[in-house]
Amino acid sequence: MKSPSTTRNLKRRRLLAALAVAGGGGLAASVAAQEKVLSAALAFTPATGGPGLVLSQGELATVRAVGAQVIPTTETPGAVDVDAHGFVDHQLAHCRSADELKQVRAVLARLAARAQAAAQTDFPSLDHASQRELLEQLEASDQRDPFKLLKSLLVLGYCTSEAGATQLLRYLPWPGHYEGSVPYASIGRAWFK
Amino acid sequence: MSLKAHIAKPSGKPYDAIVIGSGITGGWAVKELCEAGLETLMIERGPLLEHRKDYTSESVAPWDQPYRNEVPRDEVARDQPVQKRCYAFNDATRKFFGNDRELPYQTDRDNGFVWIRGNQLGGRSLVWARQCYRWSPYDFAANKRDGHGQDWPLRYRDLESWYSYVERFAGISGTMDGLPQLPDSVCQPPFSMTRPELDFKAAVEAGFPGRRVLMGRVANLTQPTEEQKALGRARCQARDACFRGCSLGAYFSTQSATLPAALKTNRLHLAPRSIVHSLIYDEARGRVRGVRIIDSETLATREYFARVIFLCASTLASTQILLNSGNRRFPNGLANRSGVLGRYLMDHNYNAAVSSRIPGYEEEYYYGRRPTHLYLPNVHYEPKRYAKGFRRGYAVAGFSYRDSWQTSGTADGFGADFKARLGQAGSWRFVLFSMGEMLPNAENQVALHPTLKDRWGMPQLEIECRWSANERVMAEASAEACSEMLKAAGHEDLHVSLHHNPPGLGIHEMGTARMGADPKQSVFNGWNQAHDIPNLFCTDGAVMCSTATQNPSLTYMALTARAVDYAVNELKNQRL
Repeated sequence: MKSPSTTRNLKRRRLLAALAVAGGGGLAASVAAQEKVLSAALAFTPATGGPGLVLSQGELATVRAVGAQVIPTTETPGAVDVDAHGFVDHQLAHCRSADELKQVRAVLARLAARAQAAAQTDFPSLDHASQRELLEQLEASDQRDPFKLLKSLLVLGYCTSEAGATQLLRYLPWPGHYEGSVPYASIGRAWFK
Repeated sequence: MSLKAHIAKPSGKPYDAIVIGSGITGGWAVKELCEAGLETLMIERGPLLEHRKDYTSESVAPWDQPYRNEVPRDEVARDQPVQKRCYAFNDATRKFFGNDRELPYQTDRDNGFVWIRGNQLGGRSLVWARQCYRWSPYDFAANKRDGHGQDWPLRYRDLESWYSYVERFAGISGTMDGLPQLPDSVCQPPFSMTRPELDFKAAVEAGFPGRRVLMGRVANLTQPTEEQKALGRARCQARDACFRGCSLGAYFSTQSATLPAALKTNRLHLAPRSIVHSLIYDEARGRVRGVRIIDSETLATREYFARVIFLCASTLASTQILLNSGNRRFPNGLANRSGVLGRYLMDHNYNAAVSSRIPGYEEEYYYGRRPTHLYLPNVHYEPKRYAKGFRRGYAVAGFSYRDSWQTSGTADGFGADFKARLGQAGSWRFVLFSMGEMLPNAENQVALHPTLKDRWGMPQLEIECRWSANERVMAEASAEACSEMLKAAGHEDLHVSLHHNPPGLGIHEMGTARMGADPKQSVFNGWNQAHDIPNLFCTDGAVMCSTATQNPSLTYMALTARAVDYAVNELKNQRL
């Protein structure tokens, strides 16, 4: 895994190279100065066990398990690898409404209750097939909309992570030009944006 | 060189000219005044903002944004509850939008006018949508021909050469289409259409006589001129990150274009963090002498003097300053002998949109992010072409895209299959939305609140502005017309949205200090010069007599350049 400073240097070199291609000339120096400011910007810091900012340790573990079911690790990293569950907690704490937090909590409580009823255990402790079955039931139930909220938060966290944006999707910060019609096969994946 | 080196030193020495505001019109005014040889002071209520250096979110990757470009709920609820309604507002851009606590105004709670603010050097030129369309001979004659609103004191031919002049400098990408209702601009090469857009264009132009589907004309450079390159501007890289600020100067803003041009003359002086309280009037001479400002940091009051003053503070801010500059001669606001100051506030109506799904085209995709959209010019541009049920008309904007994770992420399913679908582009979608003309109406007005002030002691504006039946009927009719066009192109799953957003959200606020030939009916004359105060000019949206359907900024640019040319000539001939 690349250290953050290596990643930053790579990004900076890419940016400077792109500027040179763009014929920016003297721009490169000023953008280099700007990069210093950028690198100081706070990145979202992954959670490491324990309770979240608004979710309890148990709730967070459930979100993590749901994430693994929604976006598993395959040939590309999955939701757990990019701490999408930590992102969901962070997003609920800072950006979403009290009502959205309540909806997510209700979904997690429902999963806990179902796991308890089915196997007298918590959701993360169920085997994968049982987890999947409960989630499929939930997605078809009257809790569909609150569940989709949780799902969309996991997807947002994953797709805006570096692995999600650059490996599952195509992330291109500096296209250089626009073409309205190219073969899909030449891109091969969905654009990040 | 740092902008700080240009900050005005308090000396009491008069300038040749003062420009209030630093957005699109303020930038043009200082460029033209400085290039004409005038020592010019630009007054801005917000802080300095340096091109490149202060675009701190420009190339930050999504994963380096703590909120992933969502916004912090509590902070935004406290500081920017109005600003957040703007479509361009997100975590990466919100620093370019004002703080609502510092910019209070009063409005009808149920029908609140939305006032979007850019409180920094460059103003809203940093976050404008950059769409540039000339108004046509029909637009300047519209009020006279159907009797709604007062006639414009000028015609298209008066502005034609000034349009060309500002287009050459600003840099507009687009096509030359030879349309009577949308005169051609001086254009750089256009952006291209997607395959579904090309087929939509063919279907609409074949099936709806008079309808045209154009690539949107936009102030993004596609083939920079030598003049633009010399200012440090480069070709657009199709990042569509304009609202974060562009270090390449690829889109037109004060920072990228007019400011560096003005700085080159060495005649520009800057007064940032200076909130204009009022204009200083010399009753004996019947002229304005200067500007009284409040330092937003120290609360100190300062005065600046000049031979000519340009109000470019934005529509409502310019009118607020005039209203607060009343005196014995003008008890109801400076230059307000007519009593129309504050009246005829307008915007464009963006409340109708239709979306669709396009079957097929699975093998098609696009490369890059286009900083503009399709444009369908108004077809109801003269009374004999008016539709049944409403007056004037609307333009339509549109774009296509393929579904991505934002849509597939809420689909049913789990596991590797769900993930694989997430990584692939989905259905093609199309969106059309209309931009409707709003009729001038005296009841849509602003006034100074009798008691409420902002933290600097400036009386707050009270804004009363509502859509009329004409705008509502037009919005519904436009949604119907859009639906018909989408169906004709073979689209499916049409979804019509009729929003109930109040005026202001179009961010094309116009009127409240209109120009006109008759001093009894208007505040400024056909040269943007106050009827009763020859050395006072206003060239922002406040002077507009009607809204047409086109985005107004290009017309503001042309009006500003023309007014400065006139003012400089009048100064030379000792008539100001």
